[in-house]
Amino acid sequence: MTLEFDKVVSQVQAMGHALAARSATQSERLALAWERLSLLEDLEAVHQRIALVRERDAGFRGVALLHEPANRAYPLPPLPKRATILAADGSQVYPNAHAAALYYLINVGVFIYYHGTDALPIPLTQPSLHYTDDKLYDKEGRLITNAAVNARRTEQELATLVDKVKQHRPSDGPLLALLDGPLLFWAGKDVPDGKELQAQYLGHLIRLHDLHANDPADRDRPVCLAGYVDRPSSAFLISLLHLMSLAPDDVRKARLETNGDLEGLTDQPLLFKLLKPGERSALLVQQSPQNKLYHDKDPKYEIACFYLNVSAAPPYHLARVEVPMWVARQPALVDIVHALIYSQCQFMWRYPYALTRADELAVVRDHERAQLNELIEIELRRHQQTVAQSEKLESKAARHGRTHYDRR
Amino acid sequence: MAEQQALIGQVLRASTVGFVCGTRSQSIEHPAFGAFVRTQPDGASSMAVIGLIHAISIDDDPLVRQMILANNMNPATIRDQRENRMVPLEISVLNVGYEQDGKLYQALPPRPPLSLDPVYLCDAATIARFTARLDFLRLVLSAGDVPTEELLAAALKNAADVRPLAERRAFLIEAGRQLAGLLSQELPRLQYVLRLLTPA
Repeated sequence: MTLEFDKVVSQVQAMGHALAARSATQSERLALAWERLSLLEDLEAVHQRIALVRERDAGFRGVALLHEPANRAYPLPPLPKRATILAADGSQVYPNAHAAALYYLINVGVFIYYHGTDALPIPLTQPSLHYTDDKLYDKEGRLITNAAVNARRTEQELATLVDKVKQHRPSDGPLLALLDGPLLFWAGKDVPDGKELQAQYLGHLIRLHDLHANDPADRDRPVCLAGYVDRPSSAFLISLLHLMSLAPDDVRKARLETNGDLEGLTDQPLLFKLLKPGERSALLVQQSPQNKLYHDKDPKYEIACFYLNVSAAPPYHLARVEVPMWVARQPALVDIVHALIYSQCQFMWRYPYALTRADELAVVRDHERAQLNELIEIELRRHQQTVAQSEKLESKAARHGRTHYDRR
Repeated sequence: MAEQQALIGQVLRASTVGFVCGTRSQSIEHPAFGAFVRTQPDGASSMAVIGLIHAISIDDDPLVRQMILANNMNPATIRDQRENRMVPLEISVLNVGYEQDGKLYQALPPRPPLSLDPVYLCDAATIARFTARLDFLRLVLSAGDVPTEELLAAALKNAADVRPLAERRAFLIEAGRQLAGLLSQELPRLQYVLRLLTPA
């Protein structure tokens, strides 16, 4: 059946009208948000409003301000002469009920880049194979979900990063440990060991902080941590603008369920108006139950963030950079993170080079998965185990994929 | 067997007409257009395929493409790309003969080399021995998808260079004679090859 265009044309026209109308509405909202942001000068007023919303437990999910006004752009600081960047990213092979054997694999890639020198960067990988029943099944005997593997991968990414920081920390200069994605980690209900994973994750954060803080002689070689969120779709700042537009009596849950007359707008277009290439936003602190947990452990583990225009010229590209409070509270460390991440993004097309390489190191490609399955099959046969046919056929098909070399 | 020269790669794909070998991009110093190469068979085969390099290419790579777009190279990232990443260099070879049981044949090999067979540059003695006869010229002239004239000129220059100085001119004159016979109906083509062989 082919697409009958005569029946679609009128729908395409209607779509065009609707999108144009939505765009016009968005422009009006953006103009309103920009006007409100421009007037958001009084830090104390923001602090008081955040205190009020917390007191009333009104479910506010926007951001608080730390110590900088939100209506200003903060310029690109100078780069440190030397710095070490360790970036980590992970990938996984999910458990497959039709495979020769039930297992999952997590592969973490770490890339070490020596900023300010011509030294050869170091690529590292750390794969771990999980096949025991306690790893594969929950307490009710059900096979774990992909979400559980993702959560374990996130915990392993930070664990591996902290281990490698410990092993590869240079004798001088700052160190930036970089993760792909937010630093706030939350495991859902479908993750059987979610609470343990969250506790372990926080433990790794503490270990990293201790590396930074424990040696008083190490002031000239601080350890910074940052999570890099590419093209964020968050509306944290918009939520703050909405909160600040409310009369004190209206600061309650029902009014904060949406962003009112700014609903539907995200932070990105607003930040594009505020930030020139290389500039960052004010430091922001997300108001969420996860972040409260981190704060309750110790205020220095609470997560702050800033937006960064990582492009060198239009069209602009936005990232959200998350940092723990031990970094956010020290302007010199914020400058290091700001300058190094922007510099890294200039080597690539608006994404940190070190993270790109860590991702490339971590990813398990289809042919590698097929080879791993083949290895497992061989090992099972060596131990007189039966091998399920379905996976065997799948890996054979992957092996035959090599015939693409014959296309000339 | 003659002494082996530099390893330039391993066979990626092959046919009786030619093969492609792959190597890492930092190994680009050794192979050159028009060079004579030979495969090294494993224990199961006694046949080594001899060929001429007719193309050297580097595959497209999305990461490198992004770095080029960013236009902000630095020595560390270039070293990382060249020394840490497995960016494959592909070397295309036209088969012009083979060696079996110590004898050289200027004909297409009966079987292609196998995947992962190592590929070496031929040493001077092998090139001199192989080009003692010039029957392979016809194979090159009849090859498709190959810059035939340039390949012939480069290969004949390489073959001349491994000979003593006093013999080089005579070798090239003999090669020119044989080419004149093979290209008697294609004078512009013949003239072009002879011009390529003549020093400017």
